[in-house]
Amino acid sequence: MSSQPLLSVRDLQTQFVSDGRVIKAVDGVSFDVRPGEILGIVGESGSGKSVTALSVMGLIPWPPGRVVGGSIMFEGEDLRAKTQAQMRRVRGAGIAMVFQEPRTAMNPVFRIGEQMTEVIMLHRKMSRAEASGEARSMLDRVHIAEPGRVMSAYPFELSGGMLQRVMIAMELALRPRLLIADEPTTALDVTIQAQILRLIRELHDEFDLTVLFITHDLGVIAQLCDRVMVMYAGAVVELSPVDALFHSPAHPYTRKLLAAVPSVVDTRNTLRSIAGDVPDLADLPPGCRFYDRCDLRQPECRLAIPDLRKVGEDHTARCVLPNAISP
Amino acid sequence: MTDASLSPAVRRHQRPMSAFWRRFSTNRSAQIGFLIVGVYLFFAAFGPWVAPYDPLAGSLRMRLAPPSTEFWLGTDDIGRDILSRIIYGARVSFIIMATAVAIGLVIGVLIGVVGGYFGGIIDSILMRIIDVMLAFPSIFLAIGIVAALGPGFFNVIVATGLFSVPQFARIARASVLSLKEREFVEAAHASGESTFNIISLYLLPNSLAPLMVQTTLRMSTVLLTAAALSFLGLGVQPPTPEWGAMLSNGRTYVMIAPHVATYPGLAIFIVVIGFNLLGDGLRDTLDPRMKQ
Amino acid sequence: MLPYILRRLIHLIPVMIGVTLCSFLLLKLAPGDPAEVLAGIEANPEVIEAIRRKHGLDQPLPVQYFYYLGNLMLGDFGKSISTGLDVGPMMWRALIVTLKLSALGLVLALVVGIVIGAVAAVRQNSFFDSTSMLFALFGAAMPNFWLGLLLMWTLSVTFPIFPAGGGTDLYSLILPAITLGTGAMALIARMTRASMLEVIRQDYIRTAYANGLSPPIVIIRHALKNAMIPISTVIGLQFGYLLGGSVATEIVFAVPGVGQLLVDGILARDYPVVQSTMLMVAIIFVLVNLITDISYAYFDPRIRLK
Repeated sequence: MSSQPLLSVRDLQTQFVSDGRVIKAVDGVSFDVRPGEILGIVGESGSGKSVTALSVMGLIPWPPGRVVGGSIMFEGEDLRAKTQAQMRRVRGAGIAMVFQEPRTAMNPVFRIGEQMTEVIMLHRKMSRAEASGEARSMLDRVHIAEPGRVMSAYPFELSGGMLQRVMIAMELALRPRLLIADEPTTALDVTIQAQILRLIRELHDEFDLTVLFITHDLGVIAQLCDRVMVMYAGAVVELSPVDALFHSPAHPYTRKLLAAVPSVVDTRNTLRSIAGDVPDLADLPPGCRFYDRCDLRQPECRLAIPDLRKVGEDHTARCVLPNAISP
Repeated sequence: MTDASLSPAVRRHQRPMSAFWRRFSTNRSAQIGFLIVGVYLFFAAFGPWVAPYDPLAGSLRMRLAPPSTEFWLGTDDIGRDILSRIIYGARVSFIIMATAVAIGLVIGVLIGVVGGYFGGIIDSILMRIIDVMLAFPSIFLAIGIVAALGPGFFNVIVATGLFSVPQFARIARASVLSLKEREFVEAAHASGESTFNIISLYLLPNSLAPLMVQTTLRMSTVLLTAAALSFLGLGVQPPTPEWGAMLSNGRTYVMIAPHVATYPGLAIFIVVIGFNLLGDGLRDTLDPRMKQ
Repeated sequence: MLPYILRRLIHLIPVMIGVTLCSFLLLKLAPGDPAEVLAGIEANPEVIEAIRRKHGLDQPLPVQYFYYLGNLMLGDFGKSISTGLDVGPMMWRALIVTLKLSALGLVLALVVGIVIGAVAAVRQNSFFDSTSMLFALFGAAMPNFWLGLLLMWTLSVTFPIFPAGGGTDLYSLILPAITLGTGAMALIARMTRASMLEVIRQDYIRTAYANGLSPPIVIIRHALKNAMIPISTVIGLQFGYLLGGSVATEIVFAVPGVGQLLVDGILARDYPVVQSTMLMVAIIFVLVNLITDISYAYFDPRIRLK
């Protein structure tokens, strides 16, 4: 644990403007991604997990959104201080990203081969023929049976699971140090989901890949991740090794999430299964954001946001009563 | 879709006029269009009372006079006041436009509704006729009709009217095709409504929004086409104060008196903008989904 | 793809029959006896009768229609009444000029319209966006004969940069092409903007940025090709508008094209010229539409491969 983190995010603030209101989508998020680990971010939709990822990539579209504060250190360099041209060298080659919906994430009018070759040539300074060979071997590496046929296919000719493999192959062909996977299995069938997760695990072992894995599904976290960060209403509420989180969840929200696990496959149901509303991100209360929905709330919780407190080895939670609820 | 089973009368309540006006009143370009069209209609109605001079009487001493306080927009080659001619021209173009669009609307909707409703061989024949009309690109169809009938005020109306048939026919047909399978129409069938009633009470009222938008937009196309025909000498003949014909006349003097051609063109331009803005605005307010 | 083309070709047959029928009937509806016209002023009744028989004008209308079709197949478009010359060569000469003018106008409209529309979309709500969309509104509402006169007045009379007309060389056709292309340009700019705004919100554009591609490459290579799909469907229609607009434009700039020939023909009641010109324009327009529909597939592999 003494080695320097690959990615270190401190006090990240990302805001969106909508109808004259400022929405604090990400509000003071800090975390490290350590070399070689798989860090999971779990939270409901709207909790700020995808915005965190896009902020790291420098892909928050302005207007309406932008990163207004904090630092994002990647391999010791502050990404927020980089120019657009410098950031383009980081995107893909330094940090690569795989998105949720593989069907819409690939350009419909270019063949798979063209799309892969283009970015491989850009980042790995290869000739077209070399890049094409590399694309083919990466497709082979993600267990695509006929790489040649897939290379000359258009995205609409492939299944969703196949396309997600292609996306992963395309990104890994760039030899990134960090892979951000934003709900890469959510849009897929359950069996295909399992295959993709296995693939990520396998590639992680083989390429010594560091992964930031975003999901709303605690089951996926349990299967795949080393550590997990729980987000709620734009803030980190708990950060912990996976085992510790499942055995001794410290934050009331995490506990409720875990209690809802059987139905966790479908986010919307999970949301409904916890009574109360997520606070308005444009009009946040001064105190704890989970106050309205918390069974264990204290009068002081209304007044100020609790700090992240250490509740165990490598385990922190943003609650005033960690000991009371942590057995 | 539960609302599909509701009757047209009930459906109309889902989009009350107040909602229409609320959306219309926030659409600035639609309002500008409305204003321009309003002013134009005012001149078309009251032109003879507003125009400062007789549009047909000129004085040769005042030939090609540039704009002045006496003749705001100058005079033409035989000394007629251009402003007065433009004001009178509003009525000429409005009569052409309104009649032609009405012809296009009635015949087009009839063809579209009959084809769409009955389908089969009738539809095929009607649609082939429309295809043939559409084979003559834009103004060529109108020119062809004028070529057969000869130039003149009345023939321009017929030509631009028939020229508008295909667009209305296609819209009416598409909307009938999409509506006729809906539950409220099926219900009307089941309750023994006559074909005429089904078409006039159920299908047409529900195709009103796209037809209204097309009617407004078609006004500007017909205005432009009729003016172009007159400009070419195939339409309204001099000395009738028609904007296209005035422009054609002014062409000869473009070197020495550009105002003779400029102002009638400006009039066409402004009125077309008015109808286009109004049509776009209606499209946005009546049915935002119709936006391309 | 091939069945699609075949289906389109079969679909053309009734349209072609209709178009030739229209052009045939145009001559029949026209006032005056064609045999008398062909015979000339001083012909006696026997000569007229002989001409009538020779040209099949004594036959019933359906038979005459087939004669007409036969002649068309042989490339015989009849003789001009005013000049007595064969209509065919006159028409081809004029057609080439008009096609050159329309093509120039279309290229202008496409290039400028797409660039303006794409830039306006990428800089949505900027000063450039609002100004160019205002000009698009104006461009679509401008009667082209008026625009032509204004351009001629400013750029060839007041500042004599361009010739006032009459020529068919590229330089002489610049002002006519601008006149002709402005309306289509305005429409294409608006469509491109709308289409681009739709495309740049798509996930694959975000993927392209996430892969470190530069904005010019993302916009030009990845976004524009997708945004062109709806544009490509209207190119044929736009070409039709340009053909139509070329009539007034040719009159303004005295370009010896089809419009000039047609209008002179109508005014001189030279029906064989009018008839054949209308027919040729329709045939060209129908074929251009066929070609656009087929080439549309080039932009959209989803259609090409189905």
